[in-house]
Amino acid sequence: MILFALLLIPFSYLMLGLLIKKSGIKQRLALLFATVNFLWALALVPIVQFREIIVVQMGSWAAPYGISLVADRFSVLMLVVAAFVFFLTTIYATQSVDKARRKNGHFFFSFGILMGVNGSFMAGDLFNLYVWFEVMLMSSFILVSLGGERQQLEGSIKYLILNLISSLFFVAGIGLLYGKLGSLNLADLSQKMASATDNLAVLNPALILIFVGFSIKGALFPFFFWLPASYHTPPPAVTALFAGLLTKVGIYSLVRFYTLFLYYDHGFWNEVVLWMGGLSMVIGVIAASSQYDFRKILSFHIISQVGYVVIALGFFTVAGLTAALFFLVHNMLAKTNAFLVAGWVHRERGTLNLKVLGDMFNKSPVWGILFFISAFSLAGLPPLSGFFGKYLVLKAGIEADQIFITLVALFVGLFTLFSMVKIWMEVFWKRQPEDIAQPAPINLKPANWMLFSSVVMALAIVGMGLWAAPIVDYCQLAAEDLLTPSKYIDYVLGYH
Amino acid sequence: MEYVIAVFIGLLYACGVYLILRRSIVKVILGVFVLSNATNLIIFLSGGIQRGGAPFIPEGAETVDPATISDPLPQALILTAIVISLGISAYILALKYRYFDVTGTHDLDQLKNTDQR
Amino acid sequence: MNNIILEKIARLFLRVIAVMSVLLLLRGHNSPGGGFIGGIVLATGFIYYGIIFGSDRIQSIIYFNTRIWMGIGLGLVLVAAVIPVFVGQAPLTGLWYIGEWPLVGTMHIGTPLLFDTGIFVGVTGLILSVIITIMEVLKWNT
Repeated sequence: MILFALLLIPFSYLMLGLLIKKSGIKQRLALLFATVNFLWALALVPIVQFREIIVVQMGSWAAPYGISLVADRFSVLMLVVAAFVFFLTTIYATQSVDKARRKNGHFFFSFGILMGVNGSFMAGDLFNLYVWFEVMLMSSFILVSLGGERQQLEGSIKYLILNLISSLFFVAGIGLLYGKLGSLNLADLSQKMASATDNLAVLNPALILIFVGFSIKGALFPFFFWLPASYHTPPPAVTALFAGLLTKVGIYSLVRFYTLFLYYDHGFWNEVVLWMGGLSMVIGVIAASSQYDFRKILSFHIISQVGYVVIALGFFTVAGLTAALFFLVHNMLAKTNAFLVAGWVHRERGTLNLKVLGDMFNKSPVWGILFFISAFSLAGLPPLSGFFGKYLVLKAGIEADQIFITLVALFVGLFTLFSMVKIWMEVFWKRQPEDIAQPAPINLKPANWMLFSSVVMALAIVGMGLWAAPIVDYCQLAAEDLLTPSKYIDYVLGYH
Repeated sequence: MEYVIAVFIGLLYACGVYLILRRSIVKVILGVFVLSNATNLIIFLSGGIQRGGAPFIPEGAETVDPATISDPLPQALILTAIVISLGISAYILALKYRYFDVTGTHDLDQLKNTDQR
Repeated sequence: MNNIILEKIARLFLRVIAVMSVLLLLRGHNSPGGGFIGGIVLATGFIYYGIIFGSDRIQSIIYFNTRIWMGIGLGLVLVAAVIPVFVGQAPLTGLWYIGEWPLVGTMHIGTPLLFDTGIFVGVTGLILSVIITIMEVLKWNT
């Protein structure tokens, strides 16, 4: 029940959202349910510290045959951070998203995303992972196109088609894997692969298909094109939610898949992942530095930051995985906050073009400082969370003797700083250009709740930097669990 | 029989890939449908093909020889995948309709407005 | 369309289909059938009815808005999923009550039936909402 409730909470909201008509009540219910979801996820932390891996067999069917919900330390970490991001973006959306969109189901579909995200973090078998992906994707398709502006429709067609193709890759991989091994349960499959190490080559087509599916979802190097083509089109609150949750689910699944399946052949896959991660970092950051749109720069940075997580995974040591998890959490918080600030700029000025904007620091120093915190956390300045994230990645890289990729990561950090300084100078610092026509502001009412959610997020980023030790310790425990798949197998299949 | 279906899946994939490389959005959408059906067939084939053995335990018997019945799991998976593609088809066609309303074009090359100029 | 034969047939057809869909729903636990198929069959009956009488008539037959029906369906599913938790089982576990009933004799009533009913109502609501929307867009109200 403790895990099932995390599906139940968004599900009940979906039910009530269909039954209730008044949008004011729905909005209050959304805030209530987001809070409950966050508190519930937080309550899982002590439980998972005590029980190590929580397993629920749905419908009382035993593990390899039934549907299992599994949460180890990694899942719980992701659940808590996702719930936190969701909670704050929900508060933010009450003011940021316009009335028509809120009335047409903004909160309804964001709860659809939450349900998909929670489900994928807890899924114990491949097919359920696919189903939760689809739940999440369907809701996100609708959120991208909700409102029906021309830009949004174009963005959503690209987003939709490329993501559908990634799902097809994933399902085809599942089909082939089922044909070869005759199971879908992650733990059972991992066990079967461990005992069949001599002919793993026949599984490679299936594994590659699934790997490509996850890479498209996680926006890794050759497959990232959908992300910068669509993320800058919906309202900023939606982009913030997507940036915090969607690609991270792809990365979560990649880590889970890597440590359970690719584990048995990691000599080969480490190379692949290191190359893909390195190229994502470089290409993302270079593409970002050529852009002149606030949200586009940040979108390209998502790709580059995902690269950090993936190279840290490719080091395949406890230190590397610890760094990957820490960086993932940091990235979810800092990236979302950067998009939250972008939403405020969009509201005040009606545009996000860097050439048109200017002088925002004078307009509101508080928002300026909020952007400063999240941007320089992304760039990796101490004492913010990004510094420790990057420090851990680099340290793990040097310890794993991957000097070249570590140097690349350092240089990418420099370029990140460049982009962030560019946004800072152009949007917040320079004088407002007088010879360019200014679009009308969208809404001039004070944005207290938007400010509140951004401040809380910034406090979390600073807190994560100042009290990094307990989080790193937790990530290390999670990483140790991940690197011993036998533990996961024992718990899920009930040998324990 | 497996070989026939395998070749058929290959053909469907070829058609689907051909369609999604076309310029018209409608054809791309049709291509996605064809590809998803081909993928469903892969799942179907992965369970092995058994002639005439419904996955039921006959009345009165306690167990049944697994070699004589077909594997029920892939069929359940396909059902789920079909339901998902039902939802997606409905949505994607609605999206296409709305897009055509707003822009009046089917051409993928007209989708460049959101890219950097 | 004003065709007396079609109208009579459509009315009859809807009733027959409704009975058949409930039959499919009920026999789904030992034989082929189930909530999803039942819902789709019922929806086809409504589609036929709607083609002849227009979407307003579908709306007046089903009384509530389709989204309310979808909500009711989800609610039934939710209840069926949660009931086993209160007797200390894992969520979604099938619980059965076997009792003697007047007229029908021994009957098994369980949470899977409730779950399937939820799916039945939800699927019908979903497909009808798609159909009604399409009909409204096409202005298909005879």
